[in-house]
Amino acid sequence: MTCDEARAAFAAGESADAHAASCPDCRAAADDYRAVAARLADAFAHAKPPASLEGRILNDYDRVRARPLGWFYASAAAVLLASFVTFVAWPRAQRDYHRFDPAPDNVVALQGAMFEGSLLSRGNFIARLGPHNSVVKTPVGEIMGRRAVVKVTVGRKRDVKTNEQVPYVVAFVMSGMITLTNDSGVCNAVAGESVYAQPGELPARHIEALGRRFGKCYEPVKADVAPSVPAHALPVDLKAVAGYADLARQYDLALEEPLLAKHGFVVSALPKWLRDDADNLVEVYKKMIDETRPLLVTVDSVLHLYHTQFDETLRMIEEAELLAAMTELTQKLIDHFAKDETDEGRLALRYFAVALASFDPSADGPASVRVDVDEHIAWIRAADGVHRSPIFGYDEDFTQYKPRGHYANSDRLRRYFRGMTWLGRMVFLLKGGDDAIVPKELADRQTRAACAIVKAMEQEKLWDAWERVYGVTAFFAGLADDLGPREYREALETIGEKDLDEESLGRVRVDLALHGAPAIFGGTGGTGWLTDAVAADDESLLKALDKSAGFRFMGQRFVPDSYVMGRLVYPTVGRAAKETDMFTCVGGIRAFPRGLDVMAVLEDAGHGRAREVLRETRDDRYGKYDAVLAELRSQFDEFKDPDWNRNLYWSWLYSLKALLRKFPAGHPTFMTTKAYGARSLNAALASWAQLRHDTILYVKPSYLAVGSRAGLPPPPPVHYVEPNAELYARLLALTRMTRRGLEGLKALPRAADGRLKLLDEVLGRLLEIAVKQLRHEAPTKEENEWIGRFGATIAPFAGPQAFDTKSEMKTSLVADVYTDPNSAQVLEVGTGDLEVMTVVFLAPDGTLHVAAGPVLTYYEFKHPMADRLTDASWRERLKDPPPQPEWTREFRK
Amino acid sequence: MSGDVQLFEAMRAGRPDAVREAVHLHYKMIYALALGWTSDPHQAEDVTQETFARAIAAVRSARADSLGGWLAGIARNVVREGWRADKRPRLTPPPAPEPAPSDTRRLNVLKAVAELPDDARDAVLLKYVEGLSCDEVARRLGKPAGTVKSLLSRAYDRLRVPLKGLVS
Repeated sequence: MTCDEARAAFAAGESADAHAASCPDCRAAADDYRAVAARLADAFAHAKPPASLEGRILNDYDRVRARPLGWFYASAAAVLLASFVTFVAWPRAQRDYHRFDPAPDNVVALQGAMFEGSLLSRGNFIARLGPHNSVVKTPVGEIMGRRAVVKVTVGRKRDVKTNEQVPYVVAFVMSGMITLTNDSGVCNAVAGESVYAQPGELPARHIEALGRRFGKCYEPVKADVAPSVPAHALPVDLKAVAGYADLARQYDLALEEPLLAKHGFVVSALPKWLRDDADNLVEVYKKMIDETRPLLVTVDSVLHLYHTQFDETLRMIEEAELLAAMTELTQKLIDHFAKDETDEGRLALRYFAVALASFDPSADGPASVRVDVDEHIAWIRAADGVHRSPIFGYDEDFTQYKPRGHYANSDRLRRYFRGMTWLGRMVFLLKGGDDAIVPKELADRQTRAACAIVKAMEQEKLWDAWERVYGVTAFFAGLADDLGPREYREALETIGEKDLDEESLGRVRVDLALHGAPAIFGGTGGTGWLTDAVAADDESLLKALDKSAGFRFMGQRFVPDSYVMGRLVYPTVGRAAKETDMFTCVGGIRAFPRGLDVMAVLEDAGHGRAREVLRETRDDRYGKYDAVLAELRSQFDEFKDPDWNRNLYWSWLYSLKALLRKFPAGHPTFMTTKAYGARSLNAALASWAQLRHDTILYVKPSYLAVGSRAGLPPPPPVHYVEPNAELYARLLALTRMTRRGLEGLKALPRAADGRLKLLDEVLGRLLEIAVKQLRHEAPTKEENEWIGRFGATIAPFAGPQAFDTKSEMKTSLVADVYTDPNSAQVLEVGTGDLEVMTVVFLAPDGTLHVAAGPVLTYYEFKHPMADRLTDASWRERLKDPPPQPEWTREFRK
Repeated sequence: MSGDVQLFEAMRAGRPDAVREAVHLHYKMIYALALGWTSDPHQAEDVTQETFARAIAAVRSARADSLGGWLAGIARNVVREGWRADKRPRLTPPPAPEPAPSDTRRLNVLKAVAELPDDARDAVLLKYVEGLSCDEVARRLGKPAGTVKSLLSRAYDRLRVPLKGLVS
């Protein structure tokens, strides 16, 4: 054997002892090889990529593969649609229109509404609904709403069944919310959607293709059960409850006994043996697994699991796809505007250069705008105050650029957050003048720049890229509340190929103004102008909204809870009646909303617990609070299931509604108590805080417009599922919608797919068991064991490869949901360490049992605006936590 | 599909299953290389993702014998471009966490592997990232087992010196 052969053998881990014995060099080499091999093994063992990386690469690949086909279908659909409109629909509409003789003012009556601008054509007009309930009466339905702008088309068409001409009405909502009612029923719509009605048919929502596709992803799951659990007496004689003494010892329940006996349930702090993982649901459940300890699976657990999937899936998509897509899109627009020497071209260049520097600090930005970009980037990174933007000429609240939620977890996410916040908040204002945010010349230039951006998107063929990012994020958080590229493109079509001279700019502006103002005031222009604008009357909010109207490239989204919070503050609700020491009151006005306001609108009329708490805390003592709340409730009461399930954000809120209702007789006794209403409210608020946390980038924030055991082994414990079957059904439908929707968008990461499937299984099983419990039937032995091992069942959600960052599983998180620029404070809502809920329940064998499981906590407090909390800073603060809401004392010691 | 050569051919032919298999077989190796070059796990992820994005876009016109070598070449270019970009002044220097001494030693090992000749590097990566035996490495590379052993031996010889201090 030669030395080379011997060394080759050593390298392969084979023996060549005979040669080594006679060759000192090779002996030394063999020793070195072994050491090198050990070092290599160690180094590569620590160089494993995250599990999600492969999925992200394959997602990229799927996206690239899908494009050509997507373009083909899109192009084919566009050609077909254009042909249909040109050769069939338009001629028929013309013909039908002429047959439909009466002009709109003959057939349409307006109450509290007015025509806006000139009538577009006979039978096709825009109506602005006033601040009070307004009605547009048409022959086939009544359009009702407040502060909404709606494009109405009244016409006739041939009915395919009867072959007769029938009248119809289509209402496209340009801003706000409306309902369309006829003899057959009611349907409602929000900005960006339209409703259709004809005689004898239920009005139906016809929303844009994007929304329609999302809606199709939702299939309701029915919790088909008539609860029939016999009631037991309260207070409970705890001595008669099987297994209570052991459980009380394990969970230190001595102090909680009076409350537990009184209501049949109680929430208490985690016992010492669970405190090491106080904000990790999976770990707490795993530690609770015990052959003798009865386990309770709480609704909070599944709400938290859905939150973790939602948050992680969104994060993966953002990191894997959206950051790169937005960087590329921005870069292409910069390349386009670098060649544009006009004023508006330079404005657009500076706008996108700031975005690019946020998305990718190492990117080659245009040198000509370096000074402006550097200044803005410094403010964005500092995120500590309000500054006047030299690019836009108005104040911007840069505290909103502090990455929060999951966006604080990595450099890529921080970059994405900052860039998207810039593109979502900065507005190319439509209106200028003495009483506007900027002078008319500046508003003119900004509107021209917005038009130039839309034209550039057309020329550079960037619509697909923009639609992709907008579409995926819209599935999670909804449609934009502001004017954007689509509306500007539509307006530009009214002037055709004409240059943007004074006259055509005016026409574009009129067309855009008809869309109306955004529904939520997002703090545009800072606070200086606002103080004057918001004088004292209800109309001031409308003016503020109107002034902030304009073009946002990736506008922040209309979400109902921001809308509610924006309405239930000054000036809409008036001033404080007498006292001014309420949580919501600053300087005699309702400067802050509460999470309870949102729940008071969402809850069933018969429940009313959130409303009661608002009364108890005196946060409703403002002149018009009751009236505005009643108006909002009536608006939201009109929403049907499909309305609530238009995207994941709305559908999540819809799931929470299953907590905000009364549980009548037939439910377990503890669920029928008033205290359980407060406990459900707490769970809904905690989950809502998680929703706001997960979507903090996209939703439009609202601003003020101004132990051990001994003895014989006991029998196996009887475990229990908190039996809110309706909630499990809704969450199951939501989980399926999440998967289907993301699959349809080709945006579902492989790892997320697996976890969503598991969550589907878990929820399906919980639903089955909850239905059995409500029918007063005993779960099978196998089902009972499954509940007892819940910690092991959900362990894959927190396994070594489940998440890139362990913080994703933590229950301690925070989100700011409202800003009061006057007091320079924000309203923060958050969840903290887990607590334990113990419930007493009647088993089908007629004996009382007890079980315990973890529940979420909810916090709500004001905090300086310049220091918006991140999850990390909130966790620090939780070492000495603020008090939980006083009303939770009803069910916790 | 057995062997990188056939896999490479199938990718060139536009077969999606080949692309998926190639990603599955090579992404860990590219990540390890990128980690050696960049010393930053986040950058290494970016580089890996970008490498495959470029490879998928260019595979039909690729002219290389070895799939692993070709991907490593792309990754090297991505890193170099990023390297150049990083040399430009930043508005605010990014805070770089100080790696632990043991991490630094491991990164140096990866760096040394990344600098090996292509064929030796591929053999080391397959053996240590994929955990393949010499025969399996030989099948994957389409080379005789003896050649693979010699490649490993040469790789170890080259690594002995830079790793000497680390080893001791």
